[in-house]
Amino acid sequence: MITIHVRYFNFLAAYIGQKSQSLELPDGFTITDLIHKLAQEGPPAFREIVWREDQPNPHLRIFQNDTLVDNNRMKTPLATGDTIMLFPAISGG
Amino acid sequence: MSEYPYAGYAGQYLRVDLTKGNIQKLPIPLDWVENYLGGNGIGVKILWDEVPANIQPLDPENKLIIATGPLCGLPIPNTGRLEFIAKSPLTGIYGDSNAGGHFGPELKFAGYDLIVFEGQAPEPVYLSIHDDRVELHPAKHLWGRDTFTTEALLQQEHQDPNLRVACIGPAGEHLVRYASIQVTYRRSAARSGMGAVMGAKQLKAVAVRGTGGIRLAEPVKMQALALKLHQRIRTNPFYRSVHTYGTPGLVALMQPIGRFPTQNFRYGSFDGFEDISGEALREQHLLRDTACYSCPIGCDKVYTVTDGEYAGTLNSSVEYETLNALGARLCVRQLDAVLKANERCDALGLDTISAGGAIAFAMELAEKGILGPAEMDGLDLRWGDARTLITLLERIAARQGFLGDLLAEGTARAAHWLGRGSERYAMHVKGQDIPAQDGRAQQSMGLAHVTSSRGADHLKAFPVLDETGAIEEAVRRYGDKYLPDLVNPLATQYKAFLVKDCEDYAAIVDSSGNCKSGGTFVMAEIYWQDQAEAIRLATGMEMSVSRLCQTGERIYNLMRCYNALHGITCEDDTLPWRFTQIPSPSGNARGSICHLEIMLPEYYRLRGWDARTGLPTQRTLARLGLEAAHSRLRAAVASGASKAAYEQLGWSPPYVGPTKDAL
Amino acid sequence: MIQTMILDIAPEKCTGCLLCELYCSLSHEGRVIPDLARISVLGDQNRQILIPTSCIPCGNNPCITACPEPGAILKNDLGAVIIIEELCTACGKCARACQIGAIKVHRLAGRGKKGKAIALKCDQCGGDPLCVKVCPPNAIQICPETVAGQGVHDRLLAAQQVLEEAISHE
Repeated sequence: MITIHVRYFNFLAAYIGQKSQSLELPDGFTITDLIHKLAQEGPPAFREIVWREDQPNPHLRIFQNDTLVDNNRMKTPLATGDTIMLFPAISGG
Repeated sequence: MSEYPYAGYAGQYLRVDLTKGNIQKLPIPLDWVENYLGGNGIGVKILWDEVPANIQPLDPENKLIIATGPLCGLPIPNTGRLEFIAKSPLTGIYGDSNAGGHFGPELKFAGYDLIVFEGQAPEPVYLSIHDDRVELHPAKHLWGRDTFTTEALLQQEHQDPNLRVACIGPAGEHLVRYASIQVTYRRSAARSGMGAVMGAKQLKAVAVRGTGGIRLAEPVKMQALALKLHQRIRTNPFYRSVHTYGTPGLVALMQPIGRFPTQNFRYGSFDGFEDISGEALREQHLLRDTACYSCPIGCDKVYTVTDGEYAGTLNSSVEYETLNALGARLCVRQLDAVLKANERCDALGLDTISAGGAIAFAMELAEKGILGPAEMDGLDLRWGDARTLITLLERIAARQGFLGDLLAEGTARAAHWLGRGSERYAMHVKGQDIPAQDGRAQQSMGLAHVTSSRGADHLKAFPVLDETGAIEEAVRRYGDKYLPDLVNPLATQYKAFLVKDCEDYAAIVDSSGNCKSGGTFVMAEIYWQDQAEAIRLATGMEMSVSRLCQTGERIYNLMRCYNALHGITCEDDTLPWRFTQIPSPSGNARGSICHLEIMLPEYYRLRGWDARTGLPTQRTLARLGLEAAHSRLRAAVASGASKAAYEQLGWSPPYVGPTKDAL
Repeated sequence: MIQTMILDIAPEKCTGCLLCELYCSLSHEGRVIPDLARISVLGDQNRQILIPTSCIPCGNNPCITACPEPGAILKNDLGAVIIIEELCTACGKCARACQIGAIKVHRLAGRGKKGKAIALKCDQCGGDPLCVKVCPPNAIQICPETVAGQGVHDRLLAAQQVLEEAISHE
């Protein structure tokens, strides 16, 4: 098992009801797996922002240890101690 | 008066000679609207025709133009905006600033598209406009008052709570080179020091009330288009975040990107970011949402401070730029102090970006021992000292003390005057302070800072698609052939293309009167086609997308030509060494430098500018109907006039290296 | 039976965007002229208080009672109180009778019975109010008249009194 830390920003925190949480996950869990898990366990409004049909919502912004996660990185496994920051669609300045 | 050939415009403008106290009402020349549209397009045209290179910005011969555009006041989303244009006291070259709020539409309801101020009043005055009654009044009783008090007094004097006011505060009166013009309600036309131009003219305020209306070429179709665009914006994926948090929501996002400038751009992330984030602001200080004219987004908010040292502070338009400039840039993490500082900047009439830039410059000079203890006027210039920030803002506005007066000149001019190696720490391009982006973290913004026509600025281009990668929006605008690089903040490929297209479209938006933080850029919802259709339905003008693109290019090229008359060349298209020599230590940007050397030549090529000089070629100018501009420019260069003008600008290009500094 | 409607206005939600005034004037007058909108947003300088003000209708109808011209102001089939422009002499009595200032008299050439001026007020756009459609924070909503219009009217009146006090202290 690995332990990671997830931080929710902008209105995501209100939608899921907390600003951050620690999670214990199985080894080899990828970022996509993480988003899927959060979507399934979260309320509908939250799910709509982070998930779309069968993949993470393309507007969701994800950082893994202060690195922007693009499509390629979605499949990399998480490691213990990782900090994941999640943002909804934001832009402008 | 017979009807103006185009609807949407009022069709007339005011020319106010402040020296003689004359006011003329004149029809808008068709050339202006057909080839330059409005706003900063007409502004640069007037500067080109009427303010030669040998005029200094604070001379009476400089002109201050207040310009709306054909979409200003219309139901198209976000049409409250207007432009203030003049030769800039900060940079000595083309200057403009833009503000939202509710002043612009009121000018059109009164019956005027723009105002040109000339000369200098012998005593302080203000201009009042009530429909067709336009008068200059003595303003001695307002001189020295802050902007909030000035607005309130004018509303009382005219017994009209709906009077819209554009005014300067003490900073403009003291000719602080980055003084702002504040516009109802508390919106700032802040960059380029337009407030100092007003101050030099002894023009305290413009107050306007209009009870008329704006005629439209196709009102029914316009209403339908406006409703359609309105709905598109309200259902856009970016709507919720922009509405809920406004631009302060960007603080937390910029942190992991490495694009939250800290300690005078030494770092791109601030360990105190959560203390000054949009989330903290909303949680601790929010009173209510507010909106500019016709805006469905309402990103603006009223914030209050109810306890502690700064209790009683009331603010609106607290923006990401300010949370950075008066916060992270100085390592200040006390949010209520930043709110107080913002309130004071608005009251005094100061650009928060350049004010923060100047103070950060001073703090770094103190750290490096370049400023001696006797030169600090008893202030503790340690990074993070909020009291210093607040005190220094007051002194800058009043030009009080050695430091207050020095910093009132702006970072670039202060560095030029001071010498002693201080130039290394002046983070500017062409005399204006770099805003809250870092070209190492977002390559397109590095290029944008350099190619902006008013000196370092993010809004002339405002490339946001590659901040974090807005793929769907990029595909909608450009198709998918430029992916993935176009939306990767660290890639350089296609960024010259992106910046050029954004600059041309932004020039149109700033000439039309709608807002870039609304559907045109931040939500990437409204683009060339919608803009052309809106202008067509409003004015009846033939307006194809290609004509509109060409107009945007014409405006941008004329700005470049105007700057070239003042000696600007590719030598000034540079960034300070921090961005091009020092790999960023922060976030997603760590290890990256800004690759101007890749993007800039491609930008010149796309613009049709000479690769050796960075100036528009004859061919490009002829294509845009600017043959005469080319001749004039060539003559200015050949005669040495442009070089002579350059020597008067008062700043040197940013220091590019070498450096022994590790960061 | 047609359900009559009232405008339910919640001032605390208003952002002051003035889209209601803008669209109201455009759809009624064919051009953008907020001064002729049938709805007005009142507010203080600091935007701490914002009050979209329009006829609800209140239920008491002091405007109808005050009007001296037969048929010039009446309740239509949809329950909206409307002014018949051709019969209006712009005497201003309805405007003065309205406690929340929802009716305004405007000098407009060629309008009204005397061809000089008319009183303007909300007519609920014939049943599909545009301001309700465009208000981004939903500060203006349309509600069945089972909700008392008098309550909304009194809410606006109270808010206006707070505003007056705030302005007198500015």
